Amino acid sequence: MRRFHPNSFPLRSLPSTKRISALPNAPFPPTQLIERMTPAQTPQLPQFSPEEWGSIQDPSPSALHALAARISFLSTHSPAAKAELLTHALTHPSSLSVYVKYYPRAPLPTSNKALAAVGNSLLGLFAAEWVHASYPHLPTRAIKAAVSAYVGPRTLADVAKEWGALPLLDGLVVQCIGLLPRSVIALLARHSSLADARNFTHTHFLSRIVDLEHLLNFRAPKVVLVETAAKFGMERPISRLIAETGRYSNVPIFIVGIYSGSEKLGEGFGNSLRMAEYRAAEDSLNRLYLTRQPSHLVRLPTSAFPSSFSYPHGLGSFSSLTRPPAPGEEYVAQELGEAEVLFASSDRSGKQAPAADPSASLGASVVGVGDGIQHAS
Amino acid sequence: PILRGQLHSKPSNGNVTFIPQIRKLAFEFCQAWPTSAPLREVLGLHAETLARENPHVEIVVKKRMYRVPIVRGFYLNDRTKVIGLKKLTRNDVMDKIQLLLDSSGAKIKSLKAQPVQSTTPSTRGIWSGMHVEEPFKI
Repeated sequence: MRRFHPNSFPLRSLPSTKRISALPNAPFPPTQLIERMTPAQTPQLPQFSPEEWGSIQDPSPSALHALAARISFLSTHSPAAKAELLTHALTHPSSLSVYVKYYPRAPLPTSNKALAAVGNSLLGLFAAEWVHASYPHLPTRAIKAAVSAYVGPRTLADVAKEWGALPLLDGLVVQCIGLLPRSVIALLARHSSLADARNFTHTHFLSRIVDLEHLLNFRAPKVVLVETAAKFGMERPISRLIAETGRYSNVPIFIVGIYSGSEKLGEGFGNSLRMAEYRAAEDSLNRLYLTRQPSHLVRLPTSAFPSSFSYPHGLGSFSSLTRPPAPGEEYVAQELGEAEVLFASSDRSGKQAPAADPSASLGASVVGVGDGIQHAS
Repeated sequence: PILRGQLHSKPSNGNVTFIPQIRKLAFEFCQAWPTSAPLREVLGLHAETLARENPHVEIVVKKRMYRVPIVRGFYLNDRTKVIGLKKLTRNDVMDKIQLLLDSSGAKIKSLKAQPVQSTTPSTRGIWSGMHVEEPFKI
């Protein structure tokens, strides 16, 4: 049985705690002395800051490997390859000027700026196609806002912190922490496959919680509802009082439902009849625009690429694109939802959208800003 | 107005994938004194297995000469949990290591204080007196 004598334990092989000087051949005065010396007395000494010097050193291998395991980064690659790629992903552009100051003759390392640009585009692509396919009727502006919510700069910074990457990216460059997740996506697309990068995006970004209802805001929901119902060829919406209480008290409650024929589109509550009707119209529009495609029926356009396709690609990958797809890999497009009805959406020009087409099935050519819904007594 | 640069999402760890909240485990012990002997034995026998089974954790050893041994866990919420290993047997030390590995790093809250709080809406909906067959009439 092996006895654990203190001297037999391999702690002696720990590195010494003596600080390594940037100028090993020159005597290094302590910081307190440098502060007291005038600039004329320190002509040869460089501006040495231990924190700055520490920030440009490579991250510790154990921390790198722990990060790679935490996010399951390229699990099939060798640990050395993973460490090298992650170091590249963690090299931010603002550290290069510091690097030149301390190692003027060494070759400059490549920053993650280019990787982050590619990764940003890929993230936007995957998020946009997923949001559009999962919420087929969501208005265009809401889709763009949703993409910002899912893969925008604030989320990317939060995700980098949740991965535990802050100790690896020193505290000096907090604004650059969003470059890491983008670089990781680009590395996955290049060294694994586009499909792998997409799955990673779905796992780490598109599984996060975003409330899409806050992104929808209608200036005149009742009129929009009338026009939308006409577009779908449904009967003109009518509001009906479902329940009420305390009409003559100081806190009345009215529950109003909006019906198209016998089909109930939405319901709203309020302290006045008009308030309840407004909320019911908003509810009806939300129920339409926020309909979600079940995830097993979602067909994403990037799944048309073969599963081994990587980006940026070498010349050999083109042949996989021109080959006909295997029997199980054929891509069938999903049905697109109807585009939203534009009403009072002025865009940047400040001009409102033109009035509804008089030849529409609705018949009534006057679409006013007031109450568009008839109240059924 | 909605500012697109301010839009963000909330995390849902465990929904699709789970990121364990511990990032580093630091064992600080003495090489000479017998109080550190159980920890030295545990590390000698199980350190490699521990590292292999928990690849998301950085495992670090540090000298703490002529003092009792401790184990320190560093978490993703920037908190640290420290457990003293004085007078613990080998099995107890392993239990404490497992406790740190399983923890989220959050501060320990009393379970008696408030009822359950949830971020998801109720599955059956909240009861409404206006949506029943026979509403109450005075």
